[in-house]
Amino acid sequence: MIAFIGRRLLVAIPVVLVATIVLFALVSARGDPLRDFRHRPGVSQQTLRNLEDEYHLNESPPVQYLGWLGDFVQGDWGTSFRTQEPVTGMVGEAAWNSFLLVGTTLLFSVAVAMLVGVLSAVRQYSTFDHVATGFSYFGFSMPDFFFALLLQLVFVVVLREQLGIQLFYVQGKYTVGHEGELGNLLQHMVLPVATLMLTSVAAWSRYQRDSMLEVLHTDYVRTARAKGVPRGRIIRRHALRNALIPFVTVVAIDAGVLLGGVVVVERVFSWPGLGLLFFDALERSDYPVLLAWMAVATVFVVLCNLVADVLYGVLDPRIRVGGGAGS
Amino acid sequence: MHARPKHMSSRLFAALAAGTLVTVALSAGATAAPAKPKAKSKSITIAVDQFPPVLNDMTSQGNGEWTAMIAGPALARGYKLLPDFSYQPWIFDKDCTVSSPSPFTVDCTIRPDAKWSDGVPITSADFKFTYDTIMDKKNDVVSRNGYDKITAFDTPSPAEFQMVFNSVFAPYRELWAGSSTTVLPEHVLAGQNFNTVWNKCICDPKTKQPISSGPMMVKSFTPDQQVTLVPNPNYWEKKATVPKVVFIPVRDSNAEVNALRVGEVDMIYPQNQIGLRQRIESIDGAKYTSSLGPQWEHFDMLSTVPGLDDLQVRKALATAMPRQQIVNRVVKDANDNAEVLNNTQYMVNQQPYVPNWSMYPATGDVDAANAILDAAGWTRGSDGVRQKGNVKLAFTVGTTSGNQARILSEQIMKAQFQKLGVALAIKNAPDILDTNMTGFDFQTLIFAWVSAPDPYGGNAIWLSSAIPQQCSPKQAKKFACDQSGQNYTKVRDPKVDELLNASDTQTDPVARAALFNQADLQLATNDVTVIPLFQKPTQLGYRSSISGVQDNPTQDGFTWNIEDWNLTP
Repeated sequence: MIAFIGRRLLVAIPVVLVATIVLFALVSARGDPLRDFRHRPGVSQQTLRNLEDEYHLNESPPVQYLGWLGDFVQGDWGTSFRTQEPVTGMVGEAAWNSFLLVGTTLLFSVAVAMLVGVLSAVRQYSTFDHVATGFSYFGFSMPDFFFALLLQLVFVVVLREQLGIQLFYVQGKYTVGHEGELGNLLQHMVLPVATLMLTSVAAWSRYQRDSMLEVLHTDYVRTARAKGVPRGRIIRRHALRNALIPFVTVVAIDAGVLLGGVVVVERVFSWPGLGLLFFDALERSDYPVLLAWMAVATVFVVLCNLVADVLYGVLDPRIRVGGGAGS
Repeated sequence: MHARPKHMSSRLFAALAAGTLVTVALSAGATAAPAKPKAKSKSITIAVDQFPPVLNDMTSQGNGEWTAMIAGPALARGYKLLPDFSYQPWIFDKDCTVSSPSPFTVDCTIRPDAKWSDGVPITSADFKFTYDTIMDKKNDVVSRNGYDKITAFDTPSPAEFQMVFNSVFAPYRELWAGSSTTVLPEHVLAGQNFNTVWNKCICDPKTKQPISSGPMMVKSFTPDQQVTLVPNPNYWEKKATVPKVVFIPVRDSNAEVNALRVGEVDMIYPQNQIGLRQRIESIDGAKYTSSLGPQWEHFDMLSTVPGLDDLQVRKALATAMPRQQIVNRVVKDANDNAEVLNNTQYMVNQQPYVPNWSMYPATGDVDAANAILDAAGWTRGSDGVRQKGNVKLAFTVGTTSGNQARILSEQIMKAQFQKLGVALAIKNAPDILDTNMTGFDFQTLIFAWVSAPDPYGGNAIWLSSAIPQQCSPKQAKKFACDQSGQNYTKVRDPKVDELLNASDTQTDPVARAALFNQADLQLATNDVTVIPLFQKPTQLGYRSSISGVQDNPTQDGFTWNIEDWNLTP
């Protein structure tokens, strides 16, 4: 297994490098990173030269990239042009906040999608299956930002105005005066998580349904039934495990995609995570933060793919063996 | 045979469903406690759509509308800018006076009771220190305009100072009024690095205790998350009664309204939007107010573009421009008093305002405009677009992508100009003002300038000497263009230059306003490169439990009278 993970890691490294080259080129294409500094009346030529040296801006683009990559790998992510704070701390804090959303979304989405998918497959063409299918279409077609505002309206505004209670919140991580309270944090997380869950559950439940149906129609399941193995046991021990293989893969890959959803959802809910950090950095041309953000996002997506590969190997040992034989 | 397995599967899924529900219920249990209104009632929470990265409004890094409104109540200035655009002495005990016309000398005196929150009096040494800080090349201050004309800064006593200028400088009040003109405490900041010392606090860097000369103090600041103001107990004027004012970021304007509606925030001050007023006014227990501020929207024509280089074409477009319709559709909804702006130097609600541009009918006169073009020899081609020789009256119009109000203005103009035989193609871009405008890679544009009570700051839009050096679109993309002037329509009018230069040295307010108005009339009759459309309204929504709120459309913003705010249960 370790050799398998090692092989996958070796494959992941060039993927990360290529992705960072592309992203570095995109960020560089935005123009002179020091343009704001150059227009500030009090910034001396020496300061500009120092910044040019720090970010290797006097070098050719390939050398700039290598310089940035070297600094990044050593943990020197620079200082934000916008806030003058170390980028590592800013990205770290934002990443933790985004992780709270993405992690919780993953947990609940997997549980709900599995449940809905399996039930839909086992009761194919039942009312439940039709409703679940309808929900999936709804989830696919509903834009994140619109659904987020809809949730705010229904679960915050209407609840508050009609029933006089406030279960959830429309913005922020904590209510002013309640910083650090777990309950308050959870109240603030519910709607962003529900928004992120919509597309995930819609997609994953369809995968799980199809995968489960495929397995339920295989010969070995039919044989098991013929031998009188109880249906519940067939579903749990024979069908579900095999049906989980494509499901887990899709979930692991999609976890990286969730980061894209976070960018929109965090803005609507003013959640202080990577999404908001990205917007702020983009609007103020905060070059060090943009580059670090892109790199972290790349590593995260590649890691998700790596996890997908590893889980695939865990669930289906043939893949590990096949990979080993082939190497 | 199938009955048992079916039961089994039902149990399995019942168990799974129960597990999921329990998990959800557990989190819901944690969420079931309603917010504690007690904590909220003692403070005011304000939503900020553009949260400042640092607190020092005087540095180019911190300077911004919200920084001024957040840090402003903690830092008094020589003058307070009132909502009617007039100057009210704040730290000064009376209006500064011109004591000598040559060399031009201005004397200012300081209120004897003015003091910092630590009890140290505010003296002329603080003003001198501020001036020195601004002029120190090491410091990243947002502007040295006007200060750089001072040749001597004398402090004959702690209560008075004298500024001697190298030439007559009529708008001297601007040096100590509005944002980024804060008076700095010498006893606290001497020897400190001004570029960073007040990034994270407005405090004494040695003790970390908040320092203030205004009604409030900055108690805490967490970048991108929260700023908390509390009353300054040693304020030397009317003391604030609201125990705490908290600013939090709410980036999405729809979420801002929802947050106000459910009481998560008590005040919102979003960018101007169509339909916002109605949404705020529909909230129970919320009030809406709007002011006409110094930001003014306009339609710009690059006067060197073939076709637009003909004054008659520009006049025809001004004549046909349906400015009233634009006002009705874009801003009337936000502010009942919104009207067509007929001056490029003064706003409608300023005393010297004269409607110089009313020669162009606000409703837009297509027949008159057609007559102008006919007389100028522009004839309609087979496609309906007018042309003369090889030049067609087909132009692009651009604005910042995503700005719905401006896109609506573009569509109204396009439909109207089509009746003239002038084709307008909408070509927007997110960075159009950063790159296309500065690179002169545009034909017509819609955007807004920010004015000030004194129009001298706008001279850079009109003076021939303020045309930025020719800059290629490629250079503009690299932000390598000269940004020192803002005359992007390339208007060159010696008479306008003469009038505006004369205004710089005219200290009599009435005569000065007359010079600006003459320049404006000249721009309207002889140049017509920038057609004024309307003043942008501010939009403030707040809980009716807060009394004493009065919007201020100047740079001082709606927190200008925070000491007058009261919370009623």
